[in-house]
Amino acid sequence: MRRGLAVFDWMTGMIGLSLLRFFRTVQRIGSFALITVGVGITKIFVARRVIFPAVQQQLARAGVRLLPIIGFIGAAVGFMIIGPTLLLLSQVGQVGLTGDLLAMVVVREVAPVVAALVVLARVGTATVVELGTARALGEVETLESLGIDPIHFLVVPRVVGLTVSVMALTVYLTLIALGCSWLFALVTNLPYPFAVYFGYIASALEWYDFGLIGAKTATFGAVSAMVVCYHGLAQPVRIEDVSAATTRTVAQCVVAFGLIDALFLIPNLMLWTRH
Amino acid sequence: MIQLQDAALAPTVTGEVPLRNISWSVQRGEWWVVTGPPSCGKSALLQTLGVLHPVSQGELRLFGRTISSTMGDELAAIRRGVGLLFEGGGHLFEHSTVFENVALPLRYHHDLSLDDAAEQVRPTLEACGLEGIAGQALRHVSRALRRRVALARTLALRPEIMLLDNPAGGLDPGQIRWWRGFLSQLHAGHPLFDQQPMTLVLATDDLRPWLPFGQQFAMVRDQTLSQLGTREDLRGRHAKLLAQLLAEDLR
Repeated sequence: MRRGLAVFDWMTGMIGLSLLRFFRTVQRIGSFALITVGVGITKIFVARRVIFPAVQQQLARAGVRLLPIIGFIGAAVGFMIIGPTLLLLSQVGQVGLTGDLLAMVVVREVAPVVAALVVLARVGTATVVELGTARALGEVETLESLGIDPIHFLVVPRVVGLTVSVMALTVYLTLIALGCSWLFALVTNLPYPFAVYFGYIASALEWYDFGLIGAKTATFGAVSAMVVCYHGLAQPVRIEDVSAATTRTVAQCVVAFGLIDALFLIPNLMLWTRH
Repeated sequence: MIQLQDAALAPTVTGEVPLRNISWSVQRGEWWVVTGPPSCGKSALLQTLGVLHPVSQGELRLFGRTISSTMGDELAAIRRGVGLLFEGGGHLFEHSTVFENVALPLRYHHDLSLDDAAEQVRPTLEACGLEGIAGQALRHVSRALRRRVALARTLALRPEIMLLDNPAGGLDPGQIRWWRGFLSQLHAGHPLFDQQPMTLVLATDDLRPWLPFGQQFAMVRDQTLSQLGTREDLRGRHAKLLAQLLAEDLR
């Protein structure tokens, strides 16, 4: 009995410590995010000829250069997941569910999460390494000594770049996945003429879906950028700590994506149920 | 221009205070050489004077303003008035050219395009002997010249005070000659600064290259800053210490 109580004590202690650590991390990243937003707003007209090209560079890096991989994943989702689902729906005589199913699963859930994960994997991790190394080599101190605000110069372009990129890549991923699934239907002679197929999806989507998807993808992008920049820049890092910071970043971003997705699922479900 | 009153530097990550009880003032146009063994706190002192770290005790005044009560844009303006050259030159942007590196602070503070900045950057590049490699990517530039790129970048903002952390450390005699000549020109009044004498504070492990050039000398040892006086004072009152410094090279 006493041994059981000790184990219970130990377990609740561990859970409590983990929760405290979680809330402390959220608080720190939240403070960092607030500072970044403050700097971004107050310095919106400062050094535009330096910051705007840096934003463009981040957009090219996190957006344009990821188009091939997003195209590949979109095609894979279209041909290997949605296509067979269409086949199954037509076999069980539930073609009428196509629109609701694809709107719910692909447009609202899979595409935003996959786009955010791809950006995190390809750009987020590289950015932590880049910023962490720069920090360890004294870039922040150098910028400060030149009177350049490191948040404005290093973080703001990355936050804007990652946020816009996740939003744009979600659109491309959705279109490519749906386009490829229609091609699958065409090749396999399923009863989905072009207009009918996209008509199903269009009729399942409401105007608020676009707002919610936009808000969700922007939140994914902004949160991952904040976590990435926080771990790369806001903490004193030695060269040997960079790999651990990268691992932490990925884990925290994945958890954050899950929580954000759950948060957005509530209005989605409420509106969908009413619809 | 710089005043430290009963100041202690901010503790390091290990919690150790590198220097305490510093009362020191640097007047306009002076050239101070601060010597001391490696890792004694010279770099921390320069970074504090460059307003990168706060003092943990006492007061730091720059250009007559107390730093602890200064924030935001005013602090950024003070920082622009103090040029800090880190040991080894500090971080430079590897993927940019020499010109882009030097132009960066100017472009940031004056919102200039690369073309607009060219006119203002060119004299600085020429003064530092970098005009021939201005278009080269930094990764193709030698270690010795990188330090000059960092110097040019700092000078591009036309600071009133230059803080130099071991600028000649690890350089060959030819490069050291260049640095000594250029810094003495800056101190005497360089055309880049309209012949106005510049205030210099130079930290070094090795006093020998700078002994004929410095006006005032100080030494950091055992967490204190001792002001040794002029070259004449060094040769007179502190002759024994000077002989020790020159012989030991403090390394």
